[in-house]
Amino acid sequence: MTISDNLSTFHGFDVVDFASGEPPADPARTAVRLRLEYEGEFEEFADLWAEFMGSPGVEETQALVIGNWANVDDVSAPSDQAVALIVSDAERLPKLRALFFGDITSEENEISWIQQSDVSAFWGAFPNLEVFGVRGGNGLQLGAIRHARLKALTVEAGGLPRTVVREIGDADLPELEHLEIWFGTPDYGGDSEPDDLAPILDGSRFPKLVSLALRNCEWADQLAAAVAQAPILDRIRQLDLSMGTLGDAGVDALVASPAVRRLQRIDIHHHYVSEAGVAKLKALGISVNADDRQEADDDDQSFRYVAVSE
Amino acid sequence: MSRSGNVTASEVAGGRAPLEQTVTARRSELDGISRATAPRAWAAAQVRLGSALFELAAFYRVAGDAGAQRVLYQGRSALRAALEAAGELPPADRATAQHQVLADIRALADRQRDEPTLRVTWATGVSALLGKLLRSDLAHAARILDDLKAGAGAMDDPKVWTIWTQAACECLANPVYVAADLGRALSELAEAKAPLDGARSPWLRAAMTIHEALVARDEAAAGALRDEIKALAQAEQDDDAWRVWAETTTDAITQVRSTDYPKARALLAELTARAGQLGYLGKRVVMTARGLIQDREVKRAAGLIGETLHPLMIAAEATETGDGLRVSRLDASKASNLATLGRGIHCRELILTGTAIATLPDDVQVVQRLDVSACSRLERLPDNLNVGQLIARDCVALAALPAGLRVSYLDLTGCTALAALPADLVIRKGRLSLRGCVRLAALPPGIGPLAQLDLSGCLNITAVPPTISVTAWIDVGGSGLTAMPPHLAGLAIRWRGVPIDARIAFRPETLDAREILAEPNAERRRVMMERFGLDRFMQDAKAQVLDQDRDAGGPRRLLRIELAGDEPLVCVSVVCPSTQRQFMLRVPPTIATCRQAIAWTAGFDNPDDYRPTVET
Repeated sequence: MTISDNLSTFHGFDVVDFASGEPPADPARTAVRLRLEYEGEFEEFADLWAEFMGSPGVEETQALVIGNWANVDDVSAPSDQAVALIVSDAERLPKLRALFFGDITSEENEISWIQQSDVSAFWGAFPNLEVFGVRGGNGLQLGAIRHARLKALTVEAGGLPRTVVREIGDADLPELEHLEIWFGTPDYGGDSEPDDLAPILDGSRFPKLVSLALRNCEWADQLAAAVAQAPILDRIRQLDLSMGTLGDAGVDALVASPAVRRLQRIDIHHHYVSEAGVAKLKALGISVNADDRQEADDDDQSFRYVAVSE
Repeated sequence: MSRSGNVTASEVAGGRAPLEQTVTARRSELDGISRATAPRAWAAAQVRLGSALFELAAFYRVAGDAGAQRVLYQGRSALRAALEAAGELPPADRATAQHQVLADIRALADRQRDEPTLRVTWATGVSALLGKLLRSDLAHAARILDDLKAGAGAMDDPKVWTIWTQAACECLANPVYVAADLGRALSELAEAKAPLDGARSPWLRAAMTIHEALVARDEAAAGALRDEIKALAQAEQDDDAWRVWAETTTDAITQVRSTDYPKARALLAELTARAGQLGYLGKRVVMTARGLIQDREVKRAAGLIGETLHPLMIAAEATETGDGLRVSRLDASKASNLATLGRGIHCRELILTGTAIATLPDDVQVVQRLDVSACSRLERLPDNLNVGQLIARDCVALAALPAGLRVSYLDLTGCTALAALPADLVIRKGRLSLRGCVRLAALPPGIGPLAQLDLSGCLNITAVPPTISVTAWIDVGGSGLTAMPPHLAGLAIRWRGVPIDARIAFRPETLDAREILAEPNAERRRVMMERFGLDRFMQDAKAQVLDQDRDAGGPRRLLRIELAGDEPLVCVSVVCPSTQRQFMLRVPPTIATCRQAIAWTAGFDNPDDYRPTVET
């Protein structure tokens, strides 16, 4: 699987591509997307951004989706210039509540070819931000994540460096309700291990967290075993271990955990669990999404694949 | 002749013979005429033969004779041969002859009303004639089409109506025919839709042609036609109709975008909403239509946007830019001799990297990014500069920043002459990089809030004023800071770009060799070793001794430690002959002897080339 479509909605907003000279879309309902398109109106992201900042009603923007920032001559251009442009104009976007940085399809650039950068300036630049999502783990740095209002944090990658997982583990986000991490595979730089998650799982952080999504993980059985015993589970209502390589061993660990029985919902879609294993999970009486079972090429765990890698 | 009821044996016997005799007679008549020399007479004879055959066939059918079909077939062949022959006449006689044959067939069809083959033969003949006239004589074609329609009305035969529909659509797909009388074309198209069976794609072709003619003159009527096409597409779930609808809509966008932009935008919205029905084609059509709408010239003409600025690259040999440039990106990075920037320059990005510029005019306006890196003669920037990013790396002559500078990103890496930052400097939300600004001794208390602060190599900066807030990270590698400023506690810390923690940065003595060796991240491990001290580390880590000898200072040792995920650490330990202090110098892991190692540190690959007289 690859990411073949752009976002059509983002955090309850309809996503609408920005076009110069158009009347401003309703900021309460619409997320504005800025992206370079093949043979589109703009050749440089900086031109597109300048036009957007000069458009009427820009100060009312509540949700922003940044898509492909790289022009055709340099599809792997890093995101640092886009970050700098956005941060430089942050004072003119005082109402921004939701930002997705990297809504890029595989047709535009594969997730593991996206060159991210240090996005840590966003935290201070947008104090009213409630929702932040980013795609691409290559070069990604989050810095010290300290934000008084952020409710949802999503980091999507085909291979997420452990440094980023540790930055998330060190985050100070008192209002965070939804945390979503895509780990990906070591083949594309995903070098984190279960230990890196310790600060997230031990419950010392994120007092308001209710939804934990640890997805696209190549060591999903180990992950499930660690999560099943984790103190954080006591406050979680929704657990998402989907898109990974979860098998029967992981499900056995989950089923044995009293905290898992208290969940409202668990999502393991795209998994390698047997029918009997899925039945055990469903017998817990909680809502289960176990769609999209994968067939391992072999009994050997190494023939299991995560949903999104390259 | 009675066509119904029982036919008696005598009637059969009495009718058959004369009819058969007539056919025989007509055949002989035909045989006596040469097609080559008297084609017109030959055609007339064929019509007469056909007529006789149809009479006979009708009799056979009533009598239940098995020969009816065969005779019918022969009759049709005779009529077709007549039409063909008339069509081969010289142009002067051709039309009259063709009309004559068709009139004869029509009369026959009217006489034998229960023989549908005759009507179809007539209508097909008219239609074929029409097809030829479309290429030569449009007025005549229009008259013939009227004849066909009148015939279809009189005969009231669905098959004939279908032939008319197809013929009409064929005419209407011809742009010249349509252009000759657009009103007539429109009404014919409307009529042609009613008996549409089997003629959908000709009708769509016709609709497309008419739309093309219509869209430039009457957008309302063109819109009504597109609605009809859409209705057909919806009712019949017809991909072809959707395609025609999409193409005509795109044509309409092309037409109205310069006269009625909102209308063009509405059409695009309609197209986008229907893209799903169009499958793969939909994506392409929407993209094309978007391109038409997004054309900046069109938007500019519609008064929706201002001027479009374009990038400008300054030629390598240029020494000045000229005045009054309004561009998106002004790039002079190739013009290393550029010394003068013109007045009245307005741009989004100004790149002066590596130029010979010493000052910038006071009226320069840069919105997003000003890059003056490696401008080694740059002494002064204009006052009150307000720009998103100011990149001034390695501006070694820059001793001071101007008054009233407002930026979000300020990169002064390697500005070794810079002695102070102005008190009124404003840096909003972004990054301040002062890496290697060795003369700077203090930060003005009013800057920030910052996301990132890079003080690496700032030997003389020993404090961060408590009024400066930093939200994401601080780089303290090689700075004068000896402890984390209390108000920045909890901030991410870097050492020349490598993320580390406060203990490694400020209390390296509390580390131990085992902890350093256990660090999986190679970059972080290198910083830990550097902070801990190579000498002590080699000692504590119980390095393997690869070689030892003596030089003027005393004993030398070559030491090696294996590192996970990195090349082995190989160091040579020497004693300085003048100070008697011990030094540890890192060398490549390929080095095998102390002598080789020392030679390498002096820049020699071969130790025999290195024969110092006195070491100091």
